[in-house]
Amino acid sequence: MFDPEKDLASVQNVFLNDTEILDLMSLNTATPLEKAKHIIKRSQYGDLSGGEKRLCIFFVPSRLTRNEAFLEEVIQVDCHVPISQDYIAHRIQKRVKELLHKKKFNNRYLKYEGQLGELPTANGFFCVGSRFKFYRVI
Amino acid sequence: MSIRFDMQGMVNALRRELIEAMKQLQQELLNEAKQGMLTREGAESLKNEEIEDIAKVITAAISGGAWAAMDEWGTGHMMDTSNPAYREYVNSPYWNPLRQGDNYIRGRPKGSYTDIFGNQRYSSGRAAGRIIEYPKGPYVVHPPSHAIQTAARWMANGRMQRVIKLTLEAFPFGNYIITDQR
Repeated sequence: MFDPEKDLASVQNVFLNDTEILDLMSLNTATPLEKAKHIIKRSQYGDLSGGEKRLCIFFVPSRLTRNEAFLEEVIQVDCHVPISQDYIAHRIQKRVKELLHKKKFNNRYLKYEGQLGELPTANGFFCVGSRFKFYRVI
Repeated sequence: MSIRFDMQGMVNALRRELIEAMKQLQQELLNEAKQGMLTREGAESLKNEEIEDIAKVITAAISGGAWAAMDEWGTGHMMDTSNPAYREYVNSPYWNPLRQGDNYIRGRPKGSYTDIFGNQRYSSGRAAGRIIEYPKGPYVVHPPSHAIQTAARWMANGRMQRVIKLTLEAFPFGNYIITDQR
């Protein structure tokens, strides 16, 4: 079934309820609304400021497969942190992989597809991201 | 009985399959690069180039105009000067000679000039040398998106190899074995 909103929300919910992720993002005492402002379902980093940490969960363009009945879908999780806390970003990515790889979300298993090292982000920030793929029947 | 392998037929067919695979990779690269652009104009100016097959090398490229370059490398004082074409740009007629050192967008000296899009323009010189970036002026600048570089890095991170591998695995090499009963 094609329901990208539900796919992203199911991943977001796992992060919102994981104490380790919340600890690393300094969100353990934050309100649900505050948490949802820092763990978002889109890629947005131009407005980062201060000591903010942000997890962005978003789709990258679908890929064709050799079987036209299937599409390969890819969810990317980027972590933006202040540049002096680059190690936090790596710890968050480690936890993200533990939470998503080979786990079932919205009835599909996600598979880790690797990371790329440092990614573009706002000035004064550091970003790393990982990708997870799954197959969708059209 | 003899057995033969139609080498030339196989090479021609495999070449066609590899070109199809390259087209798929090219489209994926374009889609990802467009998604990573920070400006609508930058994304819209990106396009696929024709696939080239010259001297047995298949090349699939994407290209963009000035909008894409500005999006990729940033604008004004936020511009990334590690751009390999930066020196060429600074030494070109498109560059405002009053932009020095800090790269802030400044007013042009009085007279006609060629803008980054190649258009002939005229400056009154009223703002010559003054910073005209927002909030001091009308030009809103943005940091580099590095969208094309990042998309290419993701593609090189196993995706290209996988598409080519799948193409080779699915190729019917057996169709080019010919046997006869003579």
